[in-house]
This record gives sequence, structure tokens and C-alpha cells, in this order.
Amino acid sequence: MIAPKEITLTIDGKACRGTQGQTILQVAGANGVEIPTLCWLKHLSPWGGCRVCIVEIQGSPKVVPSCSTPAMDGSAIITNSPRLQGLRRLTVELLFSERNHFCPMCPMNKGDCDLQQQGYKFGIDSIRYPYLYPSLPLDLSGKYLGLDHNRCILCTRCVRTCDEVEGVHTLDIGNRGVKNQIVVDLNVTFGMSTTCTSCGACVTACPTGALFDKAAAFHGPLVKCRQTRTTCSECPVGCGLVVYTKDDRIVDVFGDAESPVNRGHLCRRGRYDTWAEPRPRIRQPMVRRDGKLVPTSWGDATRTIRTLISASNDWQNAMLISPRVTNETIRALHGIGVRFDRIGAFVADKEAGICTSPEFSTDALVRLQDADAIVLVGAEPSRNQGVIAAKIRTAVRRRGARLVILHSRRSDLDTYADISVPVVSLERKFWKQVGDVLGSAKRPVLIYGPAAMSAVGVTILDRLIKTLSSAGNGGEMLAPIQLPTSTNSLALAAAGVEPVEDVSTWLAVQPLSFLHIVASDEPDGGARLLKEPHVRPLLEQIDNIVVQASYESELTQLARVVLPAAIWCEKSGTTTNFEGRTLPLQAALPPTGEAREDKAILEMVFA
Amino acid sequence: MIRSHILVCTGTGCTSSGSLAARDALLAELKKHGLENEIEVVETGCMGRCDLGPVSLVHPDGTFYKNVVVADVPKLVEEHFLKGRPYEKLLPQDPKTQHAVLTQADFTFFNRQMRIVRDNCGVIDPENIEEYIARDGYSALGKVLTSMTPEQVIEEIKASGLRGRGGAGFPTGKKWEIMRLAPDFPKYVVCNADEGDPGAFMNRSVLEGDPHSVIEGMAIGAYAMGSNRGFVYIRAEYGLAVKRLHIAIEQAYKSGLLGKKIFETDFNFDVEVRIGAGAFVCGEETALMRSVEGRRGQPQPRPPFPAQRGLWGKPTNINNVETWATIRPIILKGAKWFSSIGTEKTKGTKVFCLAGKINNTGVAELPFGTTLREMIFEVGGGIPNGKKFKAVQTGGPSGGVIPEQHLDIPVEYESLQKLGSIMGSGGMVVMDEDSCMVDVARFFMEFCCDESCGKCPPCRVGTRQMLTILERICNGQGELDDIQKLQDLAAMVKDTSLCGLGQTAPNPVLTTLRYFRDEYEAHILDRRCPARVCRELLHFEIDEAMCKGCSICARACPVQTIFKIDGQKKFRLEPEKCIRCGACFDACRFDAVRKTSPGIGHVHEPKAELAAEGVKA
Amino acid sequence: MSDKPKIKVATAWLGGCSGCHMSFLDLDERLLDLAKLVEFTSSPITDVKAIPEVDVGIVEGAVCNDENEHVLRTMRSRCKVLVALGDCALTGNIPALRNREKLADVLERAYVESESTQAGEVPGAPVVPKLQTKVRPIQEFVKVDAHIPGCPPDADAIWYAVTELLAGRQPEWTPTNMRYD
Repeated sequence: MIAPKEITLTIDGKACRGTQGQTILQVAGANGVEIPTLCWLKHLSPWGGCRVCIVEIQGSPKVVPSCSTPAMDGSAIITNSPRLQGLRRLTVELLFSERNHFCPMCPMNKGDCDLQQQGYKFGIDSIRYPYLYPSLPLDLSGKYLGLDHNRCILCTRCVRTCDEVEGVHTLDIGNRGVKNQIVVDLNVTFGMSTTCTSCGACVTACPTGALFDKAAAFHGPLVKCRQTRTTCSECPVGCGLVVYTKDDRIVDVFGDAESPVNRGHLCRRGRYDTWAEPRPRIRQPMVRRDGKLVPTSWGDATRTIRTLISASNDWQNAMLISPRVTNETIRALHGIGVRFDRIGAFVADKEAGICTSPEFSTDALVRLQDADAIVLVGAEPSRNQGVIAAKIRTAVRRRGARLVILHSRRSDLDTYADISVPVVSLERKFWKQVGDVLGSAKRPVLIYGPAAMSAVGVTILDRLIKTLSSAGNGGEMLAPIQLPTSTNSLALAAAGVEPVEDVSTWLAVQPLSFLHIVASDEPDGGARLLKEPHVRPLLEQIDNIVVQASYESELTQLARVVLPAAIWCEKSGTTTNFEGRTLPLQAALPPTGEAREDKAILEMVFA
Repeated sequence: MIRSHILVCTGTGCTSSGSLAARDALLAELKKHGLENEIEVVETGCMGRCDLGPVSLVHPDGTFYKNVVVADVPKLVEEHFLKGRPYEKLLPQDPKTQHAVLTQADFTFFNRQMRIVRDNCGVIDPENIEEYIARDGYSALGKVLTSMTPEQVIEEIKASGLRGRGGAGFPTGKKWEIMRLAPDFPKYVVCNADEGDPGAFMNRSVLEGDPHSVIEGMAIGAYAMGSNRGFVYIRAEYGLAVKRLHIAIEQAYKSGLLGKKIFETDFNFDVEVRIGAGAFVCGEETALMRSVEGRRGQPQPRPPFPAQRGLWGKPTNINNVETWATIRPIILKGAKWFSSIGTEKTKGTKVFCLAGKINNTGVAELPFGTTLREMIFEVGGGIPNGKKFKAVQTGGPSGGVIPEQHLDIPVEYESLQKLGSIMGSGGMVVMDEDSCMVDVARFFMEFCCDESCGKCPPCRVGTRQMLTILERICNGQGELDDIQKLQDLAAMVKDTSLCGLGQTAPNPVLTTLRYFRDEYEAHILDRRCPARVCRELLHFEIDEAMCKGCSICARACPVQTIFKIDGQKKFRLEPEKCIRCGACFDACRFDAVRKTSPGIGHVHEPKAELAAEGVKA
Repeated sequence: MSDKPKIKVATAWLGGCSGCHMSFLDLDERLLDLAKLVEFTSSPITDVKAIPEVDVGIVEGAVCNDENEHVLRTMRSRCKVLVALGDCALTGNIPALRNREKLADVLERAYVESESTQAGEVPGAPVVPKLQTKVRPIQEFVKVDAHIPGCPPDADAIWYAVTELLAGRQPEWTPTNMRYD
């Protein structure tokens, strides 16, 4: 590939360098010249709509938007003439006059609003034109987000984000002129939308208070919150989070734009499940006395547990641990393992197969970013790993990548697929069809999930690799990407902890007298264990169960002792994502009540 | 043996006024007299005088008949075809001499015209490819494909000096050359038939009257630019044009003039029709392309230009209907011939739509360089009812008004621009002394505000705010700094808007302010509308001396505020309840109702107190 | 200094919460400095019924009813420099929230439907100033010479604007000294 030609130009008299094809705004930014913008966002296609980033090119009477105009070699750009300042100011003034842009009663409230910042920048203390005060609807039907059309400036940052980043195109603009309005799907409310994934990226992109997180509304300005960068613990992708906290509570959670994993984008689980769902926390240790769990001290709880263990003569002691624990907790298991006859990790459905042969798929996300054909086998990213689903959608919709989905449950991704077959036939004709679709791909990527580890799944994988090799492009395909479901399951497996898929069988191997369940911050408090067949009666037979969890659940009802565990935003340490990256966890808040981190609890109780 | 043809216009205008029924009546009447083998009835496209419709033309006599309605058909056949003399009742009148016009050649509306684009319109049956071919149809395409290289075609178009007829006047040859040199493939050619100006129908008349000329032009262009696929983007409202276009395309395919291996060369060309939903902004080329792709029609910033990244990211050339229709005559008659017509900068002819307060309204094709005065007073036949000319709005709703003192300028792109207006699609709306220029500006601003796509704030909000100010001036609530505010906004909207719609939307305001500032000042300072148009500034009263007591005004009044004066055969208007609707004024047959705009003192809910205190001064 | 005639100031409170006046009082000890330079005439906290001729008129609040408009116009006609104090005067702000509803519905909601009301009725006595159909900022009625944004404006912002105006300068608002909330 030929390197792009270097160009030189002057911006406000300053000599600047850039490359051919860069926009004026990009060259200015790279050379430290600031041009105000409103509808522009770095990772979105330029829109050229807001007219705030206009500049003059010497020798031309016209003003042009710097966000979409290519920089020309040898040109002289002016970014801040009095004429430009006047035009920009009037544009912002018109925006203020158009709808309800009155700051005192805005959910965004104080300091997070780009329009407000522009107003300050231009010293706009009054609007010369009459306010139009339109009477537009307020859509609060969405579960997590609200849309107040009265505060919208129609910059389409949300529309483009929804289309280009999440790839679902739920949002667009309807009507004409001043009657323009953001529309959801075919003009329904957010609550009625069939395409919205609640990824919340539109809220992140919104420059005003038009789109807002309901749970964060009126909770004060984010600029005044403490920011903590950490890693999402909802799935093994390991997206970077920025947690905004104030007065020991979370105000909002956004994607970390600096994270090489997600570059600021999140799915519903990371963006909202983490904090916008009410869940009853366990705040202090409890022991069962006279059939009732009563609060107690850590000292008393520890003593009780030790007594229970030493009393468990010839029957076995065992531990079941959630994969949501940190790498540090996993390492700590080595020290305390002697206390237990068996330690098992309760991984997700069908995930044990993956955990018995853990593979870290280095550079998986980079390859996905670049793929021109994607094959999914036994994986369900739009349910479990939303950010991966977004990357797949955008690959298909923006880059025209081919998509083949085999042996996976139905999901919205089927809409974008060339071939989507939940139950795969082994007919020759079918594989020829698959070969035809993938035949011309130069950078194919194969992603397989837990379901691919079944006998059928393995046959499919074999067949696929053969098909592609015979099509002559299987080279890269031969390094498939393994996509587990649980957060840190690969690290647990790599540390030699036995993955337990069928809990009842595991429990029934030998009678247990003591079972320590580390549910950590499983959102359901670990109660998913009870949903598996035969597990409840087996657990009820065990005399001594200790539940170490963050949230109250049916499981705690079976416990002799309950230990309060810290949740994701209270943990420090590291976690390992499916690519094998070690990602940092940073506590954004001190643990609630008496809660402690899993590692600290294990070390204190079993050391 | 056919001795005479009677051409019946079946354009949209004449069809609406009943030309199809008249055609049937003609056929029946001719048959009745046994003339069906001597006189042939031919359906044609628009002849350009829709206001006189249904119109007909008899060949070879050249007699032009107006209002050929069913009831008059028997007499027409009897007089013209049996007795051999023109049927006077249906002859048009010369607005100046008031004499009947015997032939088309004597009609100033027609005899000043020079028909290049509309050469076949009103002459051939647009639904019959044979008739088009009989008039050298597709011979230009044949000539190009068999004896010219693409480069030679482009050179020819460049040499002709042809400029885009869509409004901006970009040199067509240059545009084609850029497109030819674009490295990407495939390439697309598009015909912009999204004629959106209210009152403009020159493109429609061409597509209805001679659709093949457009298809042939596109094929020639595609050959020159290296494209194999073309689209005609046309609005759904143009039902007849769409139908005829479909027929023409189908016939061209059947005749091997579209499709694969045209004229047995290696040139393939396919044309598809894409129907637009009728948004004004979709005439803007980048919005048009998005609409063709099936997306929301909103303009995109240029660059990238369509020739670099157009339809589906591929090089695309977009030309207007008229531009495409001009290609064929240039190829057939040569660049030299074409460039001898028109002015130094602008060659050839342009189809104009004359509308408004003018005697001869309709479509007229005139060479560039014709003066506005010639257009309005000779071709257009002047202002009706002896009223005084006030101004002409050129270029559609986003053009500008041009007053009396500039009527002698030769019409071309640059000269109109210099006066603050534009060529646009070629619309000419003539206004007489009864037009209020503030109201005119308000009207056109309302149109632009409604049609703004809303993408950029200057156009979306700027036009709305200008409209707010214009409305309050018309309502007699204007404030002293409103003119300044309008000027500031207009300049800003013009400078910063994304596309042509916004960039030209302030033109009516700017030009009315430039030439008719006194009218704005009368509205704001005196609360007076000099042309007596703005309703809120009007005052009605009944002149007792003129009143004959017929009571028609009292019956017309919707708010019952006209009363009989006791004991007299006279009527009186109580102004308190008057809503200034003008119903009495229109109803009175004795000029007894006076409509005045007297200014402060008579204004409803005056802000006079304010102005008197000089509060906002 | 003392022989120089004091600048006369009047303030008025239209449709607003009086928070801007409260903020004015937050000038605290600076009020003493101000009192050396200016003489306060009519204001919501003095018992002067009519607005006299003054140099500076300061108006808080939006125009919600006919009385607001009357007071505003009177103020404008009797002062040399008119200052809009706070967001309600500048934008309509919270009072203007009702602009999205029909006036009749607003009155019905406030006087009849309100949860704490029993057998309420919309007041119609002629002594009650008539509500205007839309709440409007003051610059849509009269010329305003200086604006102090904020809801309410900080005492510092008020002090800055007042001192600038007293020095014969127009206050210049920058990102560091202005706020809309």
C-alpha cells in the first residue's frame, strides 16, 4: 500500500502538517488548533450539519464545515475571524431559541452539555430571536433511558452512533424542517422498540439533556463526580468502564474510550445491569441461630465456619466458586485449597467444554474489526457479549462483511446473516452454499462459543475448516476465536480449577458435610445454581453451607453462614478477558456495609 | 389521404381542462362528417399555454385554438374543416391589440420563441417512438456510438458552451470530463426531474411532450462518461410524465435503443425510473442521491462531489431534464450552431415558466440574453387589467425579485445573480402594483421554511425565525430593529447553510429589502400596507355616496358587521367587529366598499403607544 | 466622592421566584459599598408603590400576565439602563414551562384539578391580572441594555455586572464568569 501523501498548509497562519485525505478539522486537531464542534464526534462519520465548525479558506468567499472538508495541500485556513465568530454565535443562538434549552430544569444539569459550553464560549447572555417553545413529547417508556425531544438539537450524534457503533439503526430523524424529530424504529416509543438493545450509546453521544439515563437524571453534573476506570465483570470481553461516583454512590457508568477492548462502547449489561437495577445487598455477616439468619460480626462468623469445618469428620468439604472472581482471588485458592477436598467453578451452561481446553484468542478484537467474513458457531453474542454483537453488525452493515451463523440460538443477528441455521444439516449441498458465501473472503474470522464443544459442534467446526481450506482461504480461519460466556472462566480453568457444568452430578460424587459457595457478585446472588435440576434437594441434604455473596437470594436461605462480598465496583485487582489480556479492576467505591472482597474473605476465614 | 392534422394537447394542464373528452368529441364529429380519413387527430405533449386549455393546433394552417371544450367541437369542425375558415370564437386574442390571432406564427407568445429543447413538444405523439424517430430521434445516439469517441463527445459538449440548466449553470462538458476521469467503477448517470418550484413545470412539459429526447441525451452522456446505468428521479405528483417515461423506456428497449449492444456496438445502457415523494430538497443533488438509494433525502456536504462519491459511493453525474434534452440537438447540429445562440457566457435557450400577473402565462423557450422586458411585455403580453408592473420573481421561491428599473438586463446566470436573484429552474412570477412585497417575501419564506429538511440549524431555525419576523411585520407588529435582525439572519443563513436550499432561501427577503425597503418601513413605522394586502393593516368602509343599497355586502359579511342605515337605502360597516376578510369588497359591484391601509390609528391592537414613546428606539 | 450625586436604582419582580433578589442580597458586605454609590428607590423590599424616574432599572422574572407587562413597560419608560436579572427575565425559564400547554388547561390544573383543591374554580375577577397565553422573556417586549444570566445568578456575577455598569461598561460574559443554571 502506498503511504498517503504528506501535505502542508497554514491554519490561522500556523504552518501545519497533515496527510492527504484528512479533513481540515483533523489536521487542525493534530496541530493543536482548536475548532469548536457540535455534531462531530471522533468515531462517527462526519455529518456537516451543525455548522459550528465552519472555517474560511483563503481566496474563497464561502465558509465550509471543517469536519467534512478535506484539507488541501498549500491552502490557508482561517478558523477564528470575526465573521466566523459571528456566524457561529448566531447559529448557537438559533439553537437556543429553537427548543427548551433552559438549564435549570435539565436532567443533564450543570456542566455536561456541549450546547451550554458553546453558549458560554460565545458569551451568549440573551437570545435576540423569539423562543419558539415547541410542545414536543417526552418519552420515558424506555427501561433505562429517557428522550426529551424538547432538548434535542438534531445533531444526529445518537442516530449515527446507533447506526455506526451499535449497528442497529433504531434511531433516525423524522419529519421536515423545524418539525424534525428523532424517531425510534417506525415512530414508536423507546419502550415499544423491537430493535433497541439498550446499549445506551446514544445517551453517551448526546450533547444535551435530550437523551439521558433515567437513573442518573437530576443527580448532578458528571464533571463534579469522581471518575474511576475499571473493567466490566459481566462477560469475558472485559470492556473498560468509567464509573462516576459521588457521595459513595454511583451516578453513572460509561464505556472507557481509552480502552483498547471496547473503545468506549458498551452493551446493556455493562452500561446498565451493573448499576441501574435494584438488588438487595447483603451488608453484614449472618449466622443461623434458631433457624433464623441473624447479623453478627466477622469474628463470630469466622469462628462459626471454622467450627463447622473441623466438625466435618469423614465426609467431604467442598467449595463452589463463581467465575466472576478476580485473578487475585483465584491465586489465593492455592493457599486455602488444602482445606477442601474439592473445588469447582460453577460456569455457565455448556461452558465446561470450553474450560477444559481454554484458548486465549490473542488479537481477536482486532481481527474482528477487520474481518470481511464472520462465522459464528454455537455462540450468542447478542445475548451474552453485546459489544461483540455490535462489532459483527457494523462489520456486515458498514463494511459488507459476510455472516454465517451455525448451531446457535436465534437472535437479532440472524437478520444480518447470509446464512443462519440453528440446526445444521450435514448435506454436501449445504456446505457448498457455505463455501460460496465465504469463498471470496480474505480475512475470515471464526468465533465459536460453548455450544460448539458438543459432538455436533465439533463436527461442524471440522467441516467448516475443511470447507474453507478447500476454498483456498482458510489460512487465518484456522486460528478460531473461542468465546466463553462467563467473566473470568478461562483464568479459573487455566489455574486448574475444575469447571462444573452439571452441579448435581458434582455434588453427588461424594456426600458433603461442608460446602462453601463463593457466589461473589453474581447478579442473582448465585441462585442460578438452584435452577439446575436436582440441585436443591442435594443442597438441602448438606448440613453446613456457607454462602459468600453480594446479593440476597434463595441460596442464602439454605446457608448456615452468610458472608457479605464486595461487588464489581468495590473490587480491585485484575481480570483476564477472552483474548488473554490482563485488565485492571479499580474500586470506585468502598465496600457497602461490612462487605469485603472475595480474596480478603477467603484469606481471613481459611488462612 | 390525410389533408390536415389537428394536434390536441394532452399535457397535464389540458388533460385537466378536458382535452381527452374534446379529443373523443373531435373523432366522433369528424367521423360524422366522413372526414376521418382526411383529418387526423394527433395527441401531443404540452404546447405551453395551459391557461388557455384545452388547446389545439391545426396543421398545415397553423391555426391555434384555445378552450376547445366538447360543446364547441361540432362548430369547430363545421367552421374549420367543412367551411374552411377559422372558428373565431376559439381563437386567442392579442392582449395588446385585442384582435383575434389567426395563426400560431402571429401569436407573440409563440413567434418570439426559439424551440430547441421543446422542438418536439406539442408536435409529436410522445407515446409513440416512431414519431420521435421520424423527427431524427436517436440519430444523435447513433452518430455518437458509431462515429465518435467518448472524448470527442465531451469536446463537442464543451465547445457548445452548454451549462447545466438545473440552476447553478456549471459547464456541462467540464462536468462530464471530471466524471469520465473519475477512476472508480461502476459509474451512474442521473436525470434530475424533481422539479419542485411551485408554478414551475418546464421539466414536466418536456417529459410529457418528448420523453425520448431525455433518454437519448442520457444515453449519449453515459457513453461519453463511461457509464452503463442511469436513473431518472421524478416526483410522484408527475403522474403523466412518469407514465410516458415508462412507455418511452419500454419502447426504447423494444427497439434496441436501450439495453445491451445498442446500435450493435459494445455500449450497454439501462435506465430506471425512481419516484420521489415530492420533497423540494430532493432536487438538491446529494439529497436526491440519498433518496435514490432509498434513504432519507437530506443533503450531504460537498466535497466529496457526486463525481467522486455519488450513488452507493460511486462516481455519479446528475443533470437536469432540460440539460439532457439539449444534448441531442447539439450533437445533430453541432457545437458551432449551438454556441451562436445566446450570450457570450451563456449559450443556447432556456425554457421559462411565465406566471403571476401576466397576460400570456405558460411555458416559453427563449434564447439566453432575452431581456426581462421582452419576456414580460412581448412574449408575456404585459400585465392584465391595465395594472402597473411592480416586480418579477425569478428562479422560484428561493430566487429574488427584480424591479422595473432592471427590466432591460439580458437574462443569464451572472446578470440575475448580480441583482441578488438566481436563474434557478427558470420560473418567472410577475407581480403588479397590487402585490405587497413584504407579503411576497413572507410567502416564499414560508415555503422554504416548510421545505427545509432540517439538517442544519441556519436553514431549519433561521428560516423559521425570519418567517416569524416577516409575519409580525405583516401583522403590524413589526419593531424598529426587525429590518436589521432580518438582514443579519438572512446573511447568516445564506453564508452558513449546508445546501442550496438554505443558501438561497433568504434571496426574496434580501431583494425585497434591497428594492422595496420603503414598503417594510411603511409596515413597521406607519403600520400601513401600501399595496393593501396585509389583512391586519387594512381598513374597510362603505362610501355612502357610491352605495346603491343592494345589500350584497351585508350578505357576504361573515361576521354580520354591515348594517342598513335607518331610513336610507344605504349600508354602513361597523369597524369594531370587522375581521378585514375583504368579502364585502369583493362582493360590491359599485366600488362602494373602500379598502384602505391608512396606518396608525386604524390598526387593530396597535403597538402605537410603544412607538410613540420611542421605547425600542 | 460624597458630593457626586448617587445613581438611582429601582428593581422589579415579575414572574419569578424572587431568588434573583435573594441572590442580590447575597452580595453581603458588598451591599455597603454599593450603598455608597447608589440609592435604591422602589423594589419588592421597599415600600415605594410607584417606580420613580431612575438611572438603572433591574428586572427579575418573565412576563406572565398583563400586570407584569405593565410594570415592565413602566420600568422601561422610567429608567435609562434596563438590566435583566436572571434566567426568567432572559428566557422565560421555569414559568415558561407552561408554554407547552394550553392556558385554559394550565388554569384548570392549578385551580381545579390540583390534588389539594376541593371545589376549586378558575379565578375570573377583573382585579386579578390576566394571564397571557405564553410566558415570554422581557426582551421580547422592551429593549434590554444588559443581561445577567443564572438561576439565580451568583452574587459574584451580579456584583461583576453591577460594577461594570456603574463604571459605564457593558458586562462581558465569558466561560469563567457566566452560568445558565
